[in-house]
Amino acid sequence: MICLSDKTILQELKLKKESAIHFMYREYFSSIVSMVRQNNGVYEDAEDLFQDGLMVLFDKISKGPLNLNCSLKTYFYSICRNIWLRRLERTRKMVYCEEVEVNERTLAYSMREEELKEDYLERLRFLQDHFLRLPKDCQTLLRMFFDKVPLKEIALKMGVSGVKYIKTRKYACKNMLRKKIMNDPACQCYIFQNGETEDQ
Amino acid sequence: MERQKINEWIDRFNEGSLKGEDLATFIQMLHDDPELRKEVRVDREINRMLEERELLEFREALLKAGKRSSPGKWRWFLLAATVVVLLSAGGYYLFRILPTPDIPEKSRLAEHPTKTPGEVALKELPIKTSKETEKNQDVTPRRKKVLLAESFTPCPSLEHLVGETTRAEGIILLEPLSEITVRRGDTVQFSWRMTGKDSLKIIFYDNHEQKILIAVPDTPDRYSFPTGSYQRGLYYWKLLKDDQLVTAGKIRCE
Repeated sequence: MICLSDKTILQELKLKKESAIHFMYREYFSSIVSMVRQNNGVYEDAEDLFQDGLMVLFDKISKGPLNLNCSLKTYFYSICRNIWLRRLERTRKMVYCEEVEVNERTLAYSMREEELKEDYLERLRFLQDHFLRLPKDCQTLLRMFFDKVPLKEIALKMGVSGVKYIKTRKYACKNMLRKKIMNDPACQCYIFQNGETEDQ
Repeated sequence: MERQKINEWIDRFNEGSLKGEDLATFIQMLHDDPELRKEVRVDREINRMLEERELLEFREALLKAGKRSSPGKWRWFLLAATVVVLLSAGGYYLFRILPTPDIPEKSRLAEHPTKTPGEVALKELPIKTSKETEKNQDVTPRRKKVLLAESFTPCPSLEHLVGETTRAEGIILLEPLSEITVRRGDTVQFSWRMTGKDSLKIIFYDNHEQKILIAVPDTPDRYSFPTGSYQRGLYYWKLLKDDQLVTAGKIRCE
């Protein structure tokens, strides 16, 4: 069994290496499952939570160095716990069993702006999952648009001659994605949880 | 307005490239149509998501790795399957190896509808549990259940001892005779006359030479062997004094 130091895990995670993700699953996942199960959750909740926690961690390390004052495991547990607590509050089934150990862990990671960031990443994960379920050509097309690839080049790569077709296809792909997201019952929770915002 | 045009305007509105009269018209549409407002909001979120390219790629890596890393439900399925297998094995062990508990003969026979009462297997002999025989040790071996019907077949290795008496001194067996036939439920009385206070023991066997009971009499000159707890069949017994054979006999329980 390969053991990775916290530093190595973070370095490899930053490079999106599967080995780091595998390692974290192997070493950290069971504690997240236990925490979720003790607090009104099921195994599937723990799976989602674990991935959301990894997203938060990745976001942090991709923005700059992470100075830990505790073990990575404790820090990661703390991230997941905070996300889970807010999720419970949202779903109004909050029955949390406080533990001495948990208090220590919470202190390792708990700030209001961090929480807002976590909410944002959670929303992002929801959107990403829908995006990644789009047809491959739609995914490729939208990625290229957002990479600001020139329309002619996009047309060439997509094997079509007309630039106009590319635009029409883009609008159709986005429409498909919007419909998928809006038809998902979780959309209300992730996108419209604070009511409709000003869009005009 | 056709849907294709609306799709274009939503996209261009969020890009900031919708201008002039088209923009004014679209704003009016947003005022009138809450669903359109939601679409615009969702579209804006999609744009943000697509701009977070690093996170999108990490999410892809995560989903790819997660499928293989997460123990998933199959682990619990395997665990459950293991439990089922172990329980089945345990059940099999209990059913096949351990002695069958005492259940009414009718129901026992119902399990073997093609057998006559006398053909019921000896290994189904129940264990004595009455207070009367509390002191007796049940030594029915945990043996495999073999198929029935041989309940009255003589056991050669015990058969030749029946009626034999040894030179054991200071004891005379008064009853039973070395070969008796009783009805199931009868009590077989053992009585003897003995000088001294030597320890006596009567060991009962089934016709497969398996010990079913070791009786240590709690009275100085008699012992009752109730057959009601046992199935019909052929049984043997040995009377021992200080672990020395005194005599042996057999009981045909019908």
